[in-house]
Amino acid sequence: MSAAREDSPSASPPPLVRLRGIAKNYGNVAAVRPLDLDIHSGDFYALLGPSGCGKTTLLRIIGGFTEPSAGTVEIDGLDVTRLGPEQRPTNMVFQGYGLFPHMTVRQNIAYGLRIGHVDRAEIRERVGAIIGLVRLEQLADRRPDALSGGQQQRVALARALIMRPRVLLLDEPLAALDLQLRKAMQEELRRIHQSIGGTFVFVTHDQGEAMALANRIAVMDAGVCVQEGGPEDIYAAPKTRFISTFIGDANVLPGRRQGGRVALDAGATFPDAGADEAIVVVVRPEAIALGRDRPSDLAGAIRLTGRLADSVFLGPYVKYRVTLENGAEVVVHSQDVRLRHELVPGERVQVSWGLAQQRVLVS
Amino acid sequence: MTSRFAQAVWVLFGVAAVTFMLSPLILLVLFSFGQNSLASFPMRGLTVDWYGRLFANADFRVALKNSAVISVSVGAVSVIVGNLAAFAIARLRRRHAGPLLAAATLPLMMPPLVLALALLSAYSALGLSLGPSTVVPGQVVFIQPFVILVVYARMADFDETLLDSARDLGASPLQAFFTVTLPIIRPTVIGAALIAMALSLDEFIITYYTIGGGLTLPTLIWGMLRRSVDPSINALATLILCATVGATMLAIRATRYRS
Amino acid sequence: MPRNPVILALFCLPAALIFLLFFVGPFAYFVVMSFWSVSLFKLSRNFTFINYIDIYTDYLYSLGYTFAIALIIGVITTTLAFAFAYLIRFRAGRLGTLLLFVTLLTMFGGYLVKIYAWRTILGTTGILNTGLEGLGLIDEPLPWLLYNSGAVVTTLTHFLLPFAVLPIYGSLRGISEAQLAAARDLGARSTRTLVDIVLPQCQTGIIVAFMLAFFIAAGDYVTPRLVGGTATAMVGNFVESQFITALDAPQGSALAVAILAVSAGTILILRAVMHRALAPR
Repeated sequence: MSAAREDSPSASPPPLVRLRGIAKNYGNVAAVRPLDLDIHSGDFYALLGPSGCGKTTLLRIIGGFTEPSAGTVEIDGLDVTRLGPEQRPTNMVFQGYGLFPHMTVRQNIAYGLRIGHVDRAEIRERVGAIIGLVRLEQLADRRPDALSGGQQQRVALARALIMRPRVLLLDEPLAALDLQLRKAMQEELRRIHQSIGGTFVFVTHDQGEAMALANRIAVMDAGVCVQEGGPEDIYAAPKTRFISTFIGDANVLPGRRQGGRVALDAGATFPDAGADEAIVVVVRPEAIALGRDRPSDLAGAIRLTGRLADSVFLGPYVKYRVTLENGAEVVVHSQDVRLRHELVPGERVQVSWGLAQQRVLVS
Repeated sequence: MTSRFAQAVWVLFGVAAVTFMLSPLILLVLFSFGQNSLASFPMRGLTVDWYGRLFANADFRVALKNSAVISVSVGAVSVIVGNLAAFAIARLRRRHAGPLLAAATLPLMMPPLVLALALLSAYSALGLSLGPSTVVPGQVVFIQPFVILVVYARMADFDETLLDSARDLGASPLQAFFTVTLPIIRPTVIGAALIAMALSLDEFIITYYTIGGGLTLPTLIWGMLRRSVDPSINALATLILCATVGATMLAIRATRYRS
Repeated sequence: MPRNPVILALFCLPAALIFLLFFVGPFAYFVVMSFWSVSLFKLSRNFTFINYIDIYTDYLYSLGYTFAIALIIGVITTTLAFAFAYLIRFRAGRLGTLLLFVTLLTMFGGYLVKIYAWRTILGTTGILNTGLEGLGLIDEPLPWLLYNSGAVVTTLTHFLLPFAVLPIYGSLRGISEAQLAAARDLGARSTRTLVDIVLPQCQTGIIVAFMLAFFIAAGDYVTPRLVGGTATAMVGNFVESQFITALDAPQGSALAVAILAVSAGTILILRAVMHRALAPR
């Protein structure tokens, strides 16, 4: 499947990273099926998917740590497929960070420059600058084991960034951090990315993280790139059932389309062009309106009745679970706090949404 | 992506190293079954004659008995003594445990000859008569560090919360020890015992100097080597080899089946 | 198991007793004895340095020879052990466990039997010679395979290799693959990675391995006796002959103490040198 961009043609510059026909097989197992991918300069690009989908393999192929079974990798116009990581204009922040425990923060960061025989004065200057960028001034002379997880992560980041790579690769950079720290580090990463204007490619299984950081996301499943685009596009218009449930919460209601009309198992019907087949309707919890079972309350095209199973106050919104008449369950997110006090579990309620808020996908 | 050349070199090296380590032992076993009296190729055929000759040797039977007695005694003593010490050391903090373990392993750093002669001098200065009973403590001194290290490593990994749950459910410390700790570390203890016995069986230098006139399997080999080219030496050596390697394999198997 | 210090001490008591009575005690007596002297088969307990002086006059060469052989064996064994441990840790993948198993097996597979095995292999009627003859590469058996320093080095290296592999492997376990990948990513070739990243982190393992190899080689007398022939008497042989043949125990113990002191000194120097050489700049 091609995930090359179909943007405005002549205006956009050629992609910084071009993957063409990239595939990777381990014995009989296809970790990555043949795919094309474009990453443009300045992108903060996310490879998103569940464990085993091939995203880390793809990252390692870009970085040169894994040789593809087929296909080519082009970075900045140069075919780097046969080149090792030390020869590519990329640098990676590894899972587990890979910091050298016998060196201080400063020595870790300076290591790549030392290898490249950069002169002492320049090393000192550049290390000082990058330590400022990642805000590690106080800790510069400590060893990694005296640092917290977040601090170690910043050292790993600085060590890679100081090499001025054309593409910075990050392998699940925030996986080991707790929630608060993760949010703080997301902010940091965005700030750094904007500040230096580089191209970042990162791997994550956390869709919230992908949406928070990336300007383009490639969703992967079982070695295939199933959808590629900006976060809003993927969220609003997921192409498959898998994507809709993987990205954000979604209600999935089965039904059947016949003769240009869809009949949901739960009851409602609406017009929809397409072949006669089994389908599912996907609608986001926040796009559904919830109200008492009174005819005048809700105005959407789709209206279903059921009973309120429970409601949970989650802070920014209330999560309602409604059991429909046919037994199916619908989740509604509502910021209407007043409603929570009015509704009683077990009470008959209505849920409703417009045709614009739902997606009809093949089952 | 390591180059194919580097890959090939590593494979070659690995094969060479393993061959180097194993071939003397394999050849020894091979020749104990060979028909020609000299250990060389081509072998004319397989036979167990040498083993028969060995078992007919009266010295061999005496040595076998002594070796068995000594190794079982040494195994038992070092396991008991070593386990007790390991339990205690495992309760200490890392800082204190380190030096104690280092001290315990000091006897291993000495050349066994020095140890043997020191013991011999001490024994004769005290006027003690030499025999299996003077051999056992000498061997235990340098075998107990192995037991301590192995059991300590296991205890350091031991999940203390299991004991907490046992206590929570009403077990006394002693009961918890016998019903929870012991069964879990039993494979390690058995492994350590087997290693201790293997080491004792093969031990030559300390035994030679502190046993007075007695015989064990290794000292028997030594005696046979000094005397003549008797091909049943191969058989004897193979027997010792199989005993020690066999015990070690069992020990490794036992200690691998941990939780 | 309570943390009560009295109970802990009690548990350590049996091991400690054995340690004191059968190791520290005899060894202390040994050292004390090295300052006594024997003349005309009579032991005199007066404090004297004569044994050590005699070492300086008579045994310096043999001490030097032993030291040199032990050094060679130590270096060869440690190098091979490092390569093998590196192979197991980073290059062998799943085979690594099997290789480790083989190492452990050979480690406990005997001492005397191995020396005997090498004597058989290297002898004029041994398998190496008959194999070479059979292949037509030589006409007569090579006598120089056995009964010389080379045989001693080979035999002891073979015996000590597994002992050296284990501590080095232990140190290597602490180095994550991510570190090696990061070094590569930053531009370091294999040699650079080895010197900058791997070696500094396994200093302890290497020192322990070298110590084991060096100490045991320095004090060994069975190997030179069986495969070394008459030309390769090491200090161990002399210690033994002083004790058993010359019945001059003080001289023997002085020799033993001397070799221990030299070995300890070597280790300390080695540690300092390594630390200095591998410290990150």
